[in-house]
Amino acid sequence: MDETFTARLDGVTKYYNSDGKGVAALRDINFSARKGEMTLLLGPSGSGKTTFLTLLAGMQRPTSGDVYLFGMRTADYSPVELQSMRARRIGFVFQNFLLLDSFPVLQNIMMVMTFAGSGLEAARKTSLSYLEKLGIGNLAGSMPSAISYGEKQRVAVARALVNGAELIIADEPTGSLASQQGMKIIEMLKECSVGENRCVIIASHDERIITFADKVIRLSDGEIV
Amino acid sequence: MNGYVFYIIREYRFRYLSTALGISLCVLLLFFLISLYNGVSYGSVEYVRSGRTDLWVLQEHSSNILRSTSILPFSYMQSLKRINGVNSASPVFFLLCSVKLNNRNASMYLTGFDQAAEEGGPPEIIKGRGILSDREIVIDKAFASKYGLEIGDVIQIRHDSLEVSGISGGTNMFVIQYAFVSLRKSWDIAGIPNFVSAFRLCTDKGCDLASVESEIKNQCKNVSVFREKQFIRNNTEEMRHGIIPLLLVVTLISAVVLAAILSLILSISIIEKRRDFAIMKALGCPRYFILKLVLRLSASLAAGGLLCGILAYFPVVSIISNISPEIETRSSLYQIILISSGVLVISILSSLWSSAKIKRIYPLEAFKY
Repeated sequence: MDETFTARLDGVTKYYNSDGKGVAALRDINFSARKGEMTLLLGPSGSGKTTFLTLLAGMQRPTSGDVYLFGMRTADYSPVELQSMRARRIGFVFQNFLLLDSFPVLQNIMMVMTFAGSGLEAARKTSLSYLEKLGIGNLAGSMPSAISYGEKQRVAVARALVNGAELIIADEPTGSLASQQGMKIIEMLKECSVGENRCVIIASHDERIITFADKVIRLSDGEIV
Repeated sequence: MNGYVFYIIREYRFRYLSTALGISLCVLLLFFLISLYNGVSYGSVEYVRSGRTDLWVLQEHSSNILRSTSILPFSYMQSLKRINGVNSASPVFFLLCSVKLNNRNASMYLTGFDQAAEEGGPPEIIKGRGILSDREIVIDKAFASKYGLEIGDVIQIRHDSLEVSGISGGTNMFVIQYAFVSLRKSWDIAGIPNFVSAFRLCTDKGCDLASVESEIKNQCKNVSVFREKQFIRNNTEEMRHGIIPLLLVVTLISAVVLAAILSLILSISIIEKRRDFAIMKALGCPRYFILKLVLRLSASLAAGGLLCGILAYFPVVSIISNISPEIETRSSLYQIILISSGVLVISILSSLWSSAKIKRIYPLEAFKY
């Protein structure tokens, strides 16, 4: 199993069926990303960024071409293996962070550890240490609705990192944030790639991120331009 | 996992509290119906079960004393006593009787018995004493309570005034209650002397019951003879045929209501939590994590409802008994276990039914929010 690249797309095309006609979301995409690298997928909305990320995460399959994750074709993984891989090896930072509003901050983070098979006590300790590390240890018992945007940002990052994920996928992480707050999360993600040798892939339309990225891929109408 | 269920319940506490209350009402109804059935079952058959009667002799084609008429000549008594192996014969005469008490119509299952005979009287005297003369009557506890009767009160039956000498237990058939008078008085009231409904026979120890039965049929024309166990079974079945269909229908309705409440609430919860479940799936939650979450939520609601229902049962029954003393209930640990298991099964089925929706939640949806 060749793990030179954390993620790789070989001639990937993705069509969505709409009224019986295929609509191309991505066309003949070739791409690769390694550990310690931060890649920025830049493009306006509708350019295929989210499709790109979901193909990378093995949440859907390409119409043609191959997606490789950790050296193996995603088509060769079983659904259970893909689910387990998302829990153990991939961290997600969603647009608007998508914290689970029913649960306190600590449980939001612990939950992904239990998905990866950790015991409750171990999950609690590790989650608390991540919260401390990000300077929000005092928020462990707070509900997501009661914390600020900046704090949610950190919780989302903690949730993505807590399992020691090798690949971090971030979808529009600066989407609805003021410039200073937006850049803070990018700095955190940059630290993940450089300081912790993780592969970070960010999809965004925000050109300010270019200065942080090691690699920039511009997408337009499903094609790399 | 339990912690996650706690947080979900806490988030929608008023909704889940009302659900648990709905479940507790269903549990209360189920528990009450089963206890009522046991109470009726006990009160209806206890008279037959009490004392020692090896053989029951009734008119031919009569199989029980609850819902069949049996009339036999009293003169059979001497023939029965003469049969080899018969130790004693106790005549009993049953009569459905209407009386007026405190301007209210009342009915009683009047039982005339021979005080000198060994069997036939009340199974248990809980207050006062048995009858010593033809002018006395023993009435059931629920009957006494319903009509406010005490020892020493007088009941007018047709042209006779009978004084209450005792109050009996195990004699409440729910729809009607036993009352006990002397055999002679029951003949007076019925206006047909020298007839009885049945003879309760005690046999000598070790005698051959089959030959005694055969001899009874030779000596007395047109009679049915039943051994004790068979006769108890006949009466129990007769009582069950009357009450079980009703009980089953109401139990089924309660179970359906319970399942509907739980399924509806769980379905709503799953629909409302669609975003959260999609996020969980995107984050790699194991296949059965959400199903387990829904199962535990359902089990927690069922357990809460069950506990409230069982706790509410005892004060509710006490209130009902005060309002309607003839409603006699008998509860046991077995019933609690039976109902708890039933509610648990319903909660599991409801969550499995509702959980079909979970399959149609996709991790991709997380990117839409």
